[in-house]
Amino acid sequence: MNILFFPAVLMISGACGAWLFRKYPRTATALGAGLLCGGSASGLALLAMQYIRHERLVAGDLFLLPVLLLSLAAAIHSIGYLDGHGSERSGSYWTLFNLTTAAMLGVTQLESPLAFLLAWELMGAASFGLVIFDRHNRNFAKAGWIYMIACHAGAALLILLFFFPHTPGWLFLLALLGFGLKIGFPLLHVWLPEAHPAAPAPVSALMSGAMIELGFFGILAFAIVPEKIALYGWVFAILGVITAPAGIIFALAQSNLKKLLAYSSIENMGILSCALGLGFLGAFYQLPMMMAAGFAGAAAHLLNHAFFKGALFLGAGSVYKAAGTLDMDEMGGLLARMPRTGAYFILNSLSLCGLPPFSGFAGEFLIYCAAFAGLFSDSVCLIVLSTVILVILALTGGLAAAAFAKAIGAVFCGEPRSDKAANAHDVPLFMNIPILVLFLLSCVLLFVLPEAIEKIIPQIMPGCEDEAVILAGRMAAVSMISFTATVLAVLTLVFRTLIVKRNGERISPTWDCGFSKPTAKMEYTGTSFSANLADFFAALLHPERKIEQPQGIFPAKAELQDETEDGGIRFFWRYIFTGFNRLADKIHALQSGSLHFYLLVIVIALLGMLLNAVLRGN
Amino acid sequence: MTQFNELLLALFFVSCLMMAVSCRLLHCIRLVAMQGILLGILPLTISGTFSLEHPVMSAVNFLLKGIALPALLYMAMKKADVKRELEPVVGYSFSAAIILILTLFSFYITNKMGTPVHSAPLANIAIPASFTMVMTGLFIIIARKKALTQVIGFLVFENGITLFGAAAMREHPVIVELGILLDVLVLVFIMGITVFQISRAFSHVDADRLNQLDDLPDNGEVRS
Amino acid sequence: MNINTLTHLCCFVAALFLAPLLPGIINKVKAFFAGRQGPKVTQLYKDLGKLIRKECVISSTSGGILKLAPSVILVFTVLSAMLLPAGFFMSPLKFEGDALLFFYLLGTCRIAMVLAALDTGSSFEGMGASREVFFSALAEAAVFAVLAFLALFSGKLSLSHMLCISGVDSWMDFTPVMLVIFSLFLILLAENCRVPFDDPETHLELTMIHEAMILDYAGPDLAAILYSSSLKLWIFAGLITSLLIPPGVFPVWGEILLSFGGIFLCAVIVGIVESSMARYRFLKVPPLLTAALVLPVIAILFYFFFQGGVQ
Repeated sequence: MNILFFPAVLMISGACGAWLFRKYPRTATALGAGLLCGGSASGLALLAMQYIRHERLVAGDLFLLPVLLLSLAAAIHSIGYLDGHGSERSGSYWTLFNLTTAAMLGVTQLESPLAFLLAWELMGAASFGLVIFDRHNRNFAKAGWIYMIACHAGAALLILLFFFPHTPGWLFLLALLGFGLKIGFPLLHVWLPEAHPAAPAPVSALMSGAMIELGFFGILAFAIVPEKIALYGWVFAILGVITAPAGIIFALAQSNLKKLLAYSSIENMGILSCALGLGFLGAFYQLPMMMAAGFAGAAAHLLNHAFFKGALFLGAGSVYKAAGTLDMDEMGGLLARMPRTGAYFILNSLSLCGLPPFSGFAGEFLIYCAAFAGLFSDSVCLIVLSTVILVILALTGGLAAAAFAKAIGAVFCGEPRSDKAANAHDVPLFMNIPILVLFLLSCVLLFVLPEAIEKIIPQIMPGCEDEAVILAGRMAAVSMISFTATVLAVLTLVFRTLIVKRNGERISPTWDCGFSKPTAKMEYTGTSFSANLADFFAALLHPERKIEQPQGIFPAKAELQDETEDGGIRFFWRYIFTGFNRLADKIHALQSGSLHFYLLVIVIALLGMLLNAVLRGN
Repeated sequence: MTQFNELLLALFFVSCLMMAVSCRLLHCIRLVAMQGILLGILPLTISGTFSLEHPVMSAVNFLLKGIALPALLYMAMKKADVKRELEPVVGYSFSAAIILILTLFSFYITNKMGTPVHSAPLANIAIPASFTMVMTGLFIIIARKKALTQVIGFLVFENGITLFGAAAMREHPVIVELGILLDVLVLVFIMGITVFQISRAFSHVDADRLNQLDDLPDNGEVRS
Repeated sequence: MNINTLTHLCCFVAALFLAPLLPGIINKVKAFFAGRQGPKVTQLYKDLGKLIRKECVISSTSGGILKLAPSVILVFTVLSAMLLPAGFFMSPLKFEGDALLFFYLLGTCRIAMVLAALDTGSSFEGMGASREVFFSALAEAAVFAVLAFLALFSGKLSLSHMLCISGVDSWMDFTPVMLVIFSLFLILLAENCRVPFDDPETHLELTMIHEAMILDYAGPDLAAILYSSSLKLWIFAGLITSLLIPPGVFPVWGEILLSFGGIFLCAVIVGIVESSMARYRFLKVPPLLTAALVLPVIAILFYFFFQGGVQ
């Protein structure tokens, strides 16, 4: 309880303060942001003390860390972000923001189901307010509507979960559906790509980096019984194998930067799900290596995803502020115009793709280790699953690299494709610092991980001491080589500078094969960059293509547009909801307006109840 | 010798896979010919014992499936002037994935079914290979549009049956005879389809006269 | 420092020096088949020597990635070459799981090159980058299928152990190893942008991938890129060769000679492939890469059923 109490009180008082002074935006901002930062910082300090004092860590603490860090980072970024994007309503913003963070704190720390459920609902409601905060956004109403439905459907399932006794199987199914709505498992994910682009960037950072991961916390905390771990393992692994590639393939096809990031979150939740599945299966098949690597990989990937996705959404927010749009095909050349934002965005996205020498590789490495450990088992099913996971993870990694290459290339590289992008300027330094700090923290994670694995794994999984030492050794080697690689790369760069200084350097336009003046119109846009892959996966994506072929000898206009609507909405929910509407229409016939008919219905109902009572009575 | 047989059997899988991903009819025909030649070699080497049936079987497979049928197909291809499958029902990458699934499935059912008691050594690979070929053949028939490719699919299907016979050779000479009978059937079948196709596709334009058409505009009639 | 490490380091340094020979060998073989004299085998050395003394030209569009990429690519390629065993001499950097790091380091090189290509804003480079990420995503999946087989086969996760499969055992399972080598060869061709995936000969055609991405480099930067490409070819050829040579059969010097000879032979085979076939149409490449993914899986099945692991 101690971790929760003090920060939560600070945050809630921040919320109250911001609401009271909502007429005075500056005061409200100062109160709300100040108390939120204070709360988060004190929470972090308490957490660090707990770690240093070697107290037993619980799963909630792992999920608490991203909440605290991201709320701190997002709060600092918000101060700049709100300027000009609804600063006059910052009182209500900070109220909702503080409430959301406090509720997330509660979700990770409260143990009684009722309190948990209340915190969960508060989290949903407060973040709903934040999602619809940005009224400049065209889609905010639709996004808010979908998000609210998702939240309430989830809450309804959770009420069923908590307050009616179930067998473990049903319990797990309900948790999977209820919490899965937060996580974004396939078909339950539809709110993610709607709500994230509509919400203000710091809110998306908080939601994507910390909130959706809480869904896993919910499942782990409330729906797991030791007898059924094989079921959990298989379900998580198979869900992950479907979610990860599907998420990233949809991400590839997006042209809205924040939608791309949102789909990439779905992909990462899929990877996380794979890791958990491998961990559970390792426990079931008594492969301590697989279990240790799977769970450790899940934890590392969770933290990494929180850092990077938080940072990337904040970066997207900076880009939005500078360029005034989120459509990647209208941006370009922002790296030269906003070098700090660009550099941090690139670093974070490379890490998120799991590329060495960055920390994102550490999590993926552990998950791969778990899958390889699964190969060495006796069970054929497990071997097949491990092979499938290996191949799928590799494919996902490659596609993630493609998706982020698209994002970086379209947003930051080349020449600007619109005036707004051409006149963009970097955001104030204080908005970039949280992003940089998140990245640096992830680098620290890379070096802390070996020690943390050695220390924490035996605590949580008794009997895995040897495996913890082995894994820590591997991680140490990874971080050592990553460090060496970075140092060597920097040295080579210095060396290059010397050579270039000797030989001379010339700046000249991009060489474009005889075209005298290459312009931004000749550039590959994000859509064309990913068109190959979108075509390849057309069976899954069903992109709607508007094409206007160039005609005549001097074609005036040619156009290609790819729109990819979410598959879950288009092929599943739409039919369900249309069906519901039809049913509702049919039932509507009952409401005829005739009093006699209503009386008849009431009488029939009464008679039915009477009959029921009589029959039951016997 | 087991090494060698194993390699031969692996080539069956590889040929199925390659057939699924190649769009050129010539490649497909070569692959079918390769399967036929492999089927010619396999009966000699796969069973430890020697009997009169093996060389006969070998010779028939080699001549009929390795040489005669591919040559017929090649001629038909030349005549009909089709070179490649342009618009398959199922894309090539996806086809490769399907072949993978079929392979896994055939190993699975062989495993469930168990191999015949008196089967040849290596039957635990030969039988899945034959199942894979049968299913690949059916898959090609379903997933490709050109009649010639469908005939190739049928040949692969038939090769699979022959391989099954060869794998279970020691006990089932009847199956072998049935296989040969089926071969003849296939022969008739192929010729029927080919002739029919050519007569239907070229009812307006004779294939021989196509090379004389120099400056005509590229209208639908010529392209048929 | 024990004798193993020392030998590996010697081989590693020799590899660094010999790598630029490979493109020369390929070109020589192609020239032979075309009935031409062809450039000297050592041509790339001369090119590198000339380029490194030249002026550097940077695109005015670039935001800076263009300058960074060559160094990163060079260093990461050299590091991954260091992780590769030479013959049966294990890498001194080896640890369980280094196979993952190895391929991911190469992945970082690739993404650095893609980003630098996009950084110039050139339409050709954008096209090359777009194709590169497409093919490499599929190749990555194939690579991990191969790794899954090798891990099953050797019971280890370290590249040094995976490739130096001990003793005669590897020849017992000849067929699956052959399938995997075939798949690896396809991956080699794809990753190094050779025919039939890409045509390194064409300059300024709409067909190419790798060559299109490096259009805007000049001087020392181009030298770094060219050298890294040749080293990458060496690395993949080394993967195949180490897998083929049975360790412990020959004396030490024979082993070293054999591994180097094998790598050169690989280059010759690449040359023969390039002379005997044309570049595939763009749409034909993904099926081939999918095939490279399926082959190791069939190899895994073979391995199991032949070993009697599954009955």
